[in-house]
Amino acid sequence: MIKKALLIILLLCFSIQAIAYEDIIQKWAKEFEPSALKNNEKIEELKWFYEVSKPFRGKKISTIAEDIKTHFWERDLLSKAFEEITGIHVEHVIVGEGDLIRIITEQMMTGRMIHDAYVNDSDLIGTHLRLNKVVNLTEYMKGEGKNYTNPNLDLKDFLNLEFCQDYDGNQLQIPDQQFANLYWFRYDWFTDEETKKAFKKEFGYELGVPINWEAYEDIAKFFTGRKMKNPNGTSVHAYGHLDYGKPSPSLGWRFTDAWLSIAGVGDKGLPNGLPVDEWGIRVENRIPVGSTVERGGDLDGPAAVYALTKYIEWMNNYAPPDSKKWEWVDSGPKASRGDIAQQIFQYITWLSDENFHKIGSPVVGKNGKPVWRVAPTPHGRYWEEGMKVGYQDAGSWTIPWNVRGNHRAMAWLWVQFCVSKTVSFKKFLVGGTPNRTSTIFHPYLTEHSSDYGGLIEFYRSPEEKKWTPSGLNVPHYPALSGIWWSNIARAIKGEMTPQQTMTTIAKTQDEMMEKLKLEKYAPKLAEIKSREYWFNEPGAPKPELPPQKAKTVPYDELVKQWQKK
Amino acid sequence: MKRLLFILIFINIISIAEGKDIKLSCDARYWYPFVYTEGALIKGMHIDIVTKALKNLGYNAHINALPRKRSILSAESGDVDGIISITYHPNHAKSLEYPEGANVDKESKFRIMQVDLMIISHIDNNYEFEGDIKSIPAPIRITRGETIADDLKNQGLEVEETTSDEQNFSKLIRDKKGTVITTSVIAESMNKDKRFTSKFKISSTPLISQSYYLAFSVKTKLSSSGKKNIWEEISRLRDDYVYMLQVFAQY
Repeated sequence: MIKKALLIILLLCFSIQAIAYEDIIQKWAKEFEPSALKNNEKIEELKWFYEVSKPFRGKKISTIAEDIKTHFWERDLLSKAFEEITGIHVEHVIVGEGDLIRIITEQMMTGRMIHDAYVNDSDLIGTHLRLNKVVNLTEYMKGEGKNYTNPNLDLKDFLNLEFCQDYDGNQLQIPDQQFANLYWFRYDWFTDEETKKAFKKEFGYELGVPINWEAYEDIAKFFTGRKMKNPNGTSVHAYGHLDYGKPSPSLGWRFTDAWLSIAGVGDKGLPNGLPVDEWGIRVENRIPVGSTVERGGDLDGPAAVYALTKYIEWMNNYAPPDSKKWEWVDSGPKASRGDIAQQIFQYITWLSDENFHKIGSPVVGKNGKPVWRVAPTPHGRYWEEGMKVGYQDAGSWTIPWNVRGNHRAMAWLWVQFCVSKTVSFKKFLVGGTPNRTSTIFHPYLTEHSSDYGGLIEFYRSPEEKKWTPSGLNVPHYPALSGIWWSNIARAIKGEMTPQQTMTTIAKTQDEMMEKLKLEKYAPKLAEIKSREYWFNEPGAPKPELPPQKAKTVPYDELVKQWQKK
Repeated sequence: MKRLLFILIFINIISIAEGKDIKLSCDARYWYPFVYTEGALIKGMHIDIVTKALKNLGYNAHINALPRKRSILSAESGDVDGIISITYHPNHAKSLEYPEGANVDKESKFRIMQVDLMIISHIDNNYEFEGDIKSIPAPIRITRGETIADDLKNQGLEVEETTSDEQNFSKLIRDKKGTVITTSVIAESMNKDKRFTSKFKISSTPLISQSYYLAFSVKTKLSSSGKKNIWEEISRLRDDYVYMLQVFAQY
């Protein structure tokens, strides 16, 4: 009798638990709406997470990501959903990207157990394949992690999976979020008839999206100090440029995020120039051989000097005076304040800030649609067709080598939850950083593309492939990146000329590359030859070139070109 | 004149007390990447940080690599001014001076670096450490001089101290029982040794995460302010973003 009663109680408990979990899964399936999946598909996926995580109920892991909206949402909402469904508590720490790089490097090199997984930019792919200090996810999914790999992960659906692969196609990282760096401008000002007439009168050609830096500079000059009106009725004295220049890790990636190749440093090749990439590093047979022109690199050549020169000139002459005090997190949303005509280097993650979208904002029309647009980055005079056009960030899940056993499995489950089809579309709506093709081509975005200022058209066009992160050439991102910003800061202050700065960076980078201890494809510096020798060789390094004729294209024509392709 | 002479002698005494030269000891065992020897050279991240800090403050560091217990003894006896890379322990605190907070801080501001110690067991034992020290299979093998050894003994655990990690791994693989305590990096390097490859398992949870210090002998002639300056310079360097990334990259 008692046994029977106990059995009934036990069955009741299990049933209650099962019903409770059904409710939890239904609740979260509803929360992640809209989605690329139908409701029954979401439920199926969430149920998989519930079932596979049974051995780990009540356990904890720690992960870390940079301070953008997408990751705050993961911390504040996704981790809650994950814990309710799987029973695994995730402490998802948010820090600046510079700090994240410092921490992951310490963990990889000392074996210190700090976090179970990192959203680490795929700019470090060259580092990871050479250090061999991260989990090879391709092998993990086939072997030890097979039972913990989501059958609906659908790797083919990811945007730009190749950013995270080594030379042999192994996935060393998996993207969590991506955002391009594009040209941003005030469409309403650029299409205003009076403004257009005034520009043509002054410069002799049509105001439009600048194709090259010569046009960008003319436009910057034109708008700086010009009185302009905003849709919310405010009047401003505009600035023709926006940038940031505070000494900090983000000043480093202001340059290493393809600024030099936008100017034209390096060779043709996608996703990155070969043999010389946007860091100015020459690579031969996967081995970095030098950054200086004398070793066949392009880091202290005329193109690199031009890139730094224009950066400093434009910031001094056309940007808000406070620009030099800003890091990227400060400058990112500033274009929404209504006095910026254009920005050559805008990370689109900042465009998810509500000030770019809310009615009443100086950059939003009375119809609630943005009066700004994004467009392809203008080229510097050394740029050639066949080169990458701009930068794309791919914050990518990375599991360090010393994360083992159950921790590795739990981390992998959390990673997959964060990039699952169930949540990905909603994640994009929050943070503006797409990760999957099913997100970009969702019917919702077809209907609402005008809310995104051209971003959806960009991602749907084949042009998107020309925006890429730092690639396989860069042998050790953490060690080399610090060389850049500490020296560029001195150039901004006028302590060194642009040529002195780039020469210092190039030489110091080569010295550092020589000291690196790497498992494979370690740098081996080439013998020094004269600069003239290399300038006479085809490709990079490139000799000095004269300025070009300024060129623009009307934005509406540009979008039509994308849609035709 | 007498006053001038007195001042000159006083300055000279201070100079000696501060010491342009500073003698330190460190463990001679292979503890890559933190402290190790390569021929006649003493290398490692901890060595780099400490010698750079001392150089920045105008000191010339002379370092002796000795077997661990001897390196601690030479600091405690005053033969050297201090020892590089030792954790805090009340027993050592009687004859070594640690920076402020070393006795309470889990991750000290004045540490050279923080290091995790892991539990390694034989692959056949299927043991996973999840925080319960009493569950660690005996004997617990550790290199001589690690302060955690005394803590484990005090909790009634069977601890076996040897002179090297290699010895500990040999015994683990030979006996197929017990555990080894060491760092992840050392364990992974042992996995490259064919004698040990794939024969052991590293638990995912660290046994302990500890701050390692430059600790001074209570008998050193260095002044309090001198020691404090050195600890602060170590702290500053360790927090120097660019410097540390470049230190990490060279190992």
